[in-house]
Amino acid sequence: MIVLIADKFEQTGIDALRAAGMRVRVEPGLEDAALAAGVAESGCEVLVVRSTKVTGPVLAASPLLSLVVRAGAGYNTIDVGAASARSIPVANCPGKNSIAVAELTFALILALDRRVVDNAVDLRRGVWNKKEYSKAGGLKGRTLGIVGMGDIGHAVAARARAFEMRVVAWSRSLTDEAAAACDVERCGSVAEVADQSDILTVHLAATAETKHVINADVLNRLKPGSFVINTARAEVVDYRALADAMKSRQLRVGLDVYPDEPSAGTGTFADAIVKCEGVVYGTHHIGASTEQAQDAIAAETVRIIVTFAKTGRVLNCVNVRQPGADGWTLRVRHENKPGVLAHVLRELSLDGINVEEMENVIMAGETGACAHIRLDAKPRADTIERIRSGSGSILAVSCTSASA
Amino acid sequence: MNVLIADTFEPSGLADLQKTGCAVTYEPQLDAEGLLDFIADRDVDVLVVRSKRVTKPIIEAARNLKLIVRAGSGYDTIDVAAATEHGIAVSNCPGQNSVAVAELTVGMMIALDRRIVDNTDDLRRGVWNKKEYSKARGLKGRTLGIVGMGRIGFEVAKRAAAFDMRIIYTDVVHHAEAERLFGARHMNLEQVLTQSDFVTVHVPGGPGTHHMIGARQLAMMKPTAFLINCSRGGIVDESALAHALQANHLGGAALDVFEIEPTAGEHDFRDPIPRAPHVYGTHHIGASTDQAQSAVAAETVRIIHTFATEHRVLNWVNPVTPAMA
Repeated sequence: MIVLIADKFEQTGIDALRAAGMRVRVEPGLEDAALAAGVAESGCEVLVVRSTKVTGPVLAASPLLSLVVRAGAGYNTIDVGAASARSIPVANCPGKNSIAVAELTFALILALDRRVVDNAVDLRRGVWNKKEYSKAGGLKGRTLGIVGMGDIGHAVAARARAFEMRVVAWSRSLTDEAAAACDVERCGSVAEVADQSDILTVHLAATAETKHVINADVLNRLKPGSFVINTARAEVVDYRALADAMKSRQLRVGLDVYPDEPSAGTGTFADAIVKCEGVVYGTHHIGASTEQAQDAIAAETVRIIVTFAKTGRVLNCVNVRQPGADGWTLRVRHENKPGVLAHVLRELSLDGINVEEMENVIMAGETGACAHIRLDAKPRADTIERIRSGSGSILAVSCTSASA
Repeated sequence: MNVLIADTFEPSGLADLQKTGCAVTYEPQLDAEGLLDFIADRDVDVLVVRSKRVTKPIIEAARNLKLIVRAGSGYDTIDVAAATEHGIAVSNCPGQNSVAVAELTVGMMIALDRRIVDNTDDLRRGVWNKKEYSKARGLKGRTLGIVGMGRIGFEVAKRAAAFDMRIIYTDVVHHAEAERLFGARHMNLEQVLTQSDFVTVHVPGGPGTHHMIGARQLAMMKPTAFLINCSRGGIVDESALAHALQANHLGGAALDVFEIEPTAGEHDFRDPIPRAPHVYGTHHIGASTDQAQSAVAAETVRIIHTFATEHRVLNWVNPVTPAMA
């Protein structure tokens, strides 16, 4: 199998793919028309990208292209609609950045508490001010509030417990049992988290429901001098309300994401929030950017490609249809012989029924087999009868509604 | 019992001392001369200090002094020999700062890895450079070398273990609990220096550890490794460190202590090391958190209360038989 990697990629991943028998080409500079040409010329079946855009023309460049892997979580740089229309599955590597984001979250919390940036900047300028910087709260015994207990929230909670912090958390699906398992106290709402927190950190994906979850009401519940950390997405925090609360409640703020981030790797940064009076520390949207995270993503990319090569299955597929409840499943137990499935499919086709998904399992001993065929409509009774009686190799046929 | 507190002290500790029946005088603003006069003129049984110097003249002038309590751990600001000579006991509050120092140490480790200071500095100046700052390594799976596995080293190990770091350490004795709980492995200094991605020093100051991390030791470290010193200035040879950093033989360093520190709270600081490449400096604030100060205050109260009621000296650092109250 030929794999084209059109971005920088970890050497460990390249080595693992080659060890699995893949022919790997690494062309990190390819973009747009050159990428389309590269896909056609290489004859690749798998295309791996990080931030490189995968457009309709790239997907149409070669009939051999069978899988696109996004070595990372977000896939808004890939024209998934065009991929679906061409029956090309797209896979991603979700959750591999969790540790890196949790580490940055803690870096910001600890830096804010001890005012590490101002300390270092003053010493660089030849100013010694121990008196001013001796006023820190410390983390032990403080309450950390986590909004969003996915992989990242869990990783943050585990680290906070080692710092002997009390951890309170809210998440849409967090149960008391799940909270107890990771030694956090469950809150009934975001507001309740804010009421109790000395430090509030948010770890939610950006969706329509999470927009401005951290709003003026939530921020105004925080005790004066509390910390707010956002290493998730700019959209989940109302930055205007945050700037106000910084002033009115002397909040200390640690940010990795901003409403108007430059899309390029370098540029000018115009967001005034990092220049606000008070203690606000910012990083350059680097939450996911550690070698450890890249290694974990490379390992997951390799797992996806090797599984695809061996079984045809696509792990973490983002554009497979979620089957609804309105289909039908035909189960056929049959002898493991040539022509049996062709007979079944021919009868379905004559009835105008569309086959959506199918699986055929061979029993131990290899004489018996079992087919599960998902259909878009219910076959007529006489079609089922013809399937049963039209071949000497059919043992049993049944058809049930997928919702049953 | 008359207690003079000659440095800033937690209000909670003051209230607790008064509850034990002591007559407490709180004079944090006293300078050296004022302290001498005060202690010569009045009956002071117990003197509590933090960073204020307790010199031989002060001890000689004291009329009634029986106990000096250092509300903190290091007591090199107190002339212990003079106190001993005059039958005055000296106590300290060791270990109460461990958590605060460990928090700063781990904070500096991640700050160096993610370059928090430069990140913020650039954004404040309107510069976006995601490309540059995306090159961090992360803590998980990296090796942390702890030089000195005492109370602080142990607290650092505890936190580093939660970050899934591999922990190695060197000390004159094995630390069975750190080995059992955090998988820490005991080695010699050379092995710790050569294998670690982060090296943090937690040994006492003094002649025995002076320039313990010098040019030879720095040369053993990986060129990408980070050095953290939140213990005492003088343990790390600053000029050797500056050389190693300038020659890119070291990834970076975080320093909370320096070979020569201003004693006053605000001062010009001419030490060149905080301006060396990839150095993050703090203002000797390792022990300075509310949590640590509360713990120190509680320990100070315990020492004075025990002295007043049981005539025993806790955490006694000088071998004298003081005149008991």
